[in-house]
Amino acid sequence: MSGIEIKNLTRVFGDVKAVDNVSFSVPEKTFTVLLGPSGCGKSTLLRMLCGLESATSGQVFIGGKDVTSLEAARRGVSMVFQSYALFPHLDVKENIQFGLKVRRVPKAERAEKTQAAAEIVGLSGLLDRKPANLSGGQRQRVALARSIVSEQSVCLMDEPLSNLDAKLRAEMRDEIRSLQQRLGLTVVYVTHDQVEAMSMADQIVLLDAGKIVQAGTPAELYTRPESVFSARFVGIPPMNILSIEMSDHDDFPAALSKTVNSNPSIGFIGVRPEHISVTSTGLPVTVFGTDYFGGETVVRAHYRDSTIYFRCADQPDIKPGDELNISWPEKQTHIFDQNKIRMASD
Amino acid sequence: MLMETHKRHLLGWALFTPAAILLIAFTHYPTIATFINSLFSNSSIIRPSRFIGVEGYQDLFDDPVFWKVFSNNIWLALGTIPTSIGLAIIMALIVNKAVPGRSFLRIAYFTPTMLPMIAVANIWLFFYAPEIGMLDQVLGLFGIDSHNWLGNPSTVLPAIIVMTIWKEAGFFMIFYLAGLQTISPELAEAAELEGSSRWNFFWRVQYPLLLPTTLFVLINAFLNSFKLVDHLFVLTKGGPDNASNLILYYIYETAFSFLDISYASALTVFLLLLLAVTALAQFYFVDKRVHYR
Ligand SMILES: Nc1ncnc2c1ncn2[C@@H]1O[C@H](COP(=O)(O)OP(=O)(O)OP(=O)(O)O)[C@@H](O)[C@H]1O
Ligand SMILES: [Mg+2]
Repeated sequence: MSGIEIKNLTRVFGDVKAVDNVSFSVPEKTFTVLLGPSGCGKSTLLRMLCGLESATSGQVFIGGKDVTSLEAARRGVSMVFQSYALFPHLDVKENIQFGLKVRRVPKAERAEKTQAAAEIVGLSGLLDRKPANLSGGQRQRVALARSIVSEQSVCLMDEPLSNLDAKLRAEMRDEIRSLQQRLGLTVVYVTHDQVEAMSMADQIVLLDAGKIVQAGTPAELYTRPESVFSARFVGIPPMNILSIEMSDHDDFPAALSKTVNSNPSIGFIGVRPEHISVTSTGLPVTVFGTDYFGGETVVRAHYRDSTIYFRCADQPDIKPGDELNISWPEKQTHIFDQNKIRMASD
Repeated sequence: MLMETHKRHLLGWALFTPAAILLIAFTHYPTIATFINSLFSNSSIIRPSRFIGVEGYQDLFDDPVFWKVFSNNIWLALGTIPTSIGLAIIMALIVNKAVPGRSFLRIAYFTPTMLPMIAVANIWLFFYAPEIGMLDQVLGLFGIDSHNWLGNPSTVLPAIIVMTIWKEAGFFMIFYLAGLQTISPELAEAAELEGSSRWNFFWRVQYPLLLPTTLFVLINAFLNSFKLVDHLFVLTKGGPDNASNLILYYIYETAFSFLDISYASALTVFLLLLLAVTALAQFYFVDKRVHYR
């Protein structure tokens, strides 16, 4: 039993509501990502989970037990910090077994567990090194091993990959994810990188200004964003959003323009870059840039005051300055009201 | 081309000269002169100075006052250094935490360090004065007889040790505070999550990470225990019966009260050697010593 339940959790710093009445649950042995822009309260939320920060109000349950007022060490969680929090004067072995020593685990058992954890993360040959003599990725592994050796079933991670280069980050993403599944860990993982969130999570909790904007699977967030904020936060390039007020509805696909004309409460429409294609009629845009990625090209264009991104396969014959018409299947349109909230369409 | 090089040389010398003059006039020349003086006897009207070689240094080893003064210095070092370092660490740990009134505490701990030694001595003169002094007044409340703390050979050195600790601990605290602040707060959080107690965290993490600081402080404290004598002028003049006399003050007495320049020079060279060896040890250790980052 290691599921997590968070109820109406709030944390106020002075007059800043860092976390504002947040509730969600993390099923046992699943991977939940807290995603959001910088300063939205992800770290604060995570720190309240493990007890390094106290809650202003609300409750935290771990394994069905109310741990809100329990001290950090007794909550049954381990944590991987952004800067790894390795003890610089201790070698890898001592770093891994720091907690075991604190808990007075007998020496033989300690050595055995350390060895096992080091093997899991592929550090066996480096046990005598000091952290200063390790690469970023290796330090990251030490932090992971320390968390594994604690044998807690809940593991919290605060931007653990943000200090690594892009290639290593992709590798470690896979590794952390497979580790979580192999060991059956319940993981809560903080990041502001939506690629990490999409590729690792069972559940994404998207936060903005201390509040939950949307919670769901990566696919739900991508295909059914609850608001313009979700729509634009998830996906690269972000979803194209057009204000109804600033657009000529006759340029939209025919069926869409009928819907828009008949429903005055629609405020914005959105469409993903991959659903747009160049057509003979449709929305007139002026290209101002293209980004070639090999398999595809992302075209950047202006429609009136809005910027539109769309994807084309390979390398299309499109140059900056070109005037094109674009269109998209009507059912791929996301419709939002004047308050930028998704409208029930179906 | 040649002109260019000439000009650059000229500029180099111009920049170097002022510093060189100061260094030579006030450091190198006096040092060498002292060394030379120590090899010659004092001149008087009837007898001119003559070469005596290492005789002055032999006198030093046969001089019971020198040994008394030297052992006083060692006792002073042993009495002040461990205690003031211990206090400094405790104070630094206290003011490093987010306790209420933290900035006030920091200033309070640091104040004795900012005072000149003479002022410190005057304050403590008031504490130690027999009968009317604060110490005797307080002890009097408990029915303890008055003491002449600074007049009694058995209490005078301990009294000076206590005062020196009071003066130095705040200074060392600053180094420990700086040392503590280089330790990432995440380490404390990681340890806290593992269930490490304050005490465990101090021994396993903070103390070892402060080792370079301790080494630095240790050597400075040792040097200071030989260099600080200002308070003797106010408090005891080295008395009674040399019970509180220290090498530097003894040198001053020998040179300017007993007018024995030759012997004072030998003493000075001895002290210089001692300090030089310590300073070299400092360079060696502090540089070689584990640097974790
Ligand atoms: N100890 C504190 N005292 C005062 N304000 C704080 C404190 N900790 C966080 N805050 C504020 O709370 C808000 C949320 O901070 P938090 O660190 O949780 O953001 P975050 O989502 O983790 O951001 P980032 O991605 O930059 O790490 C911010 O506005 C921050 O300034
Ligand atoms: Mg953060």
